[in-house]
Amino acid sequence: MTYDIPYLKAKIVRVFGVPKLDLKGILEALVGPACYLGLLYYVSLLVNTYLPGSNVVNLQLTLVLSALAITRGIFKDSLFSAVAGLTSVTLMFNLLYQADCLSHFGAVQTTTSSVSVVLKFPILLVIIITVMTLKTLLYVLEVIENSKSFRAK
Amino acid sequence: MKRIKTIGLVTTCATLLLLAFIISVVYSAQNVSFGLLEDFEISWREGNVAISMPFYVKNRGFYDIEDIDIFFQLGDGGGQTLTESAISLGAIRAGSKRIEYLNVTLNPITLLLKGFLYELLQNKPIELKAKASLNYALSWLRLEAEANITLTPSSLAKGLLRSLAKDFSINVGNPTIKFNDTDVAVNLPVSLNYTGWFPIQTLQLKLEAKNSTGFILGTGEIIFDKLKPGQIEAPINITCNKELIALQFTHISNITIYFKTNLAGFTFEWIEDISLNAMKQS
Repeated sequence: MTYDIPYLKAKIVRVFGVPKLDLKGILEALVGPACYLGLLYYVSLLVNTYLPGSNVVNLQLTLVLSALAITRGIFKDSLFSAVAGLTSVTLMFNLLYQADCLSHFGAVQTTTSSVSVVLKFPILLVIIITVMTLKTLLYVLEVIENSKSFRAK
Repeated sequence: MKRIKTIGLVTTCATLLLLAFIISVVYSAQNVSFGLLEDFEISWREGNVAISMPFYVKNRGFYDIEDIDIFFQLGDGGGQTLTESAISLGAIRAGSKRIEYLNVTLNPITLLLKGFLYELLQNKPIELKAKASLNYALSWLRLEAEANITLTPSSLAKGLLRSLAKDFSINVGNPTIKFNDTDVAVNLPVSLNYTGWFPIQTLQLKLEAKNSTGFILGTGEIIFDKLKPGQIEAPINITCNKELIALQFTHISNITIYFKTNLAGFTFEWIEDISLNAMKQS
């Protein structure tokens, strides 16, 4: 079941593509943000319990990632969708870089007034980087593919 | 286009699995709780103070907690270690609870030799360091936590002394003196009330009956071994030879009480003089 939104079929459609709210798109638009927000919720609970006063949780980034996931779900198979995907991957890489995860090979340190906690996850980091590299490859290929069709139009 | 779809499918599956794993780990970690239990045990063994602190770890998450190591260290401000304790718990399976003990031993003589007690008097800070490490979620995560707490000795000592002074009281009743054919018997009712939780190794009460010139006419002694909380009624009986008193041409005029207690090699003394003449006049 697909719903086309006719008034968006203007020039802008060449960048954004035709928004298709099919079941797969709705699921993609919902699952990603639900995962990000769920993760944020549990991490914030965990941090409030064991490390009160720490600023590990980044609500703004989670909201941006959720928004990008929703737009990717709606405007899929478009240049905008690919760029949104690349942006989200860049933000995630930036998050890992900012947390010194990459330089310390999967170690995150957080400190409060008297307690210092180091979390090491090298295996998980390798998996995360692999998935993110795959995502980057996918979005780069999507950008190339959509650019071709964009020029063809 | 087919290549993009294949990579997209693989990426979506991998992302979902990864997110599901991370969310399950975070959710499980939320269901792990730990804390100290109230049944602290303090014992005195061969001049050492052994403190046994029970604690629990409740693992209600999906994953086992493995290779748990806990390290505790007490040091002075100069980086000198006074005591340390390490405990290795092994693994705590998912859905189980474990109660363990963290044992800390302090040797007051060593503390004295290392100048710790001097530093304590100088109000220098005490460094309390605690470290814990564990593996979680199929050993894919390793957590290392470290806490450094600086305590001020004056505040600690003041609190301890205040609590000890409140917990300990000695009441001396009116002495009764009895004469028989050969001896003079002095009975001094002593009531010792101890309400604290701190076990005292030995407690000694010594009584000396003196004449007005300070000559000792008789002595009595009572020793409490391993004093436990509660009230102890203990009369001290002094028996003196009548002839001895007669030879001194005087009566008992003063009773001196020596209070002596031993805490892990340290001796504390308290001396109290009671004048019988003053009591009679009053």
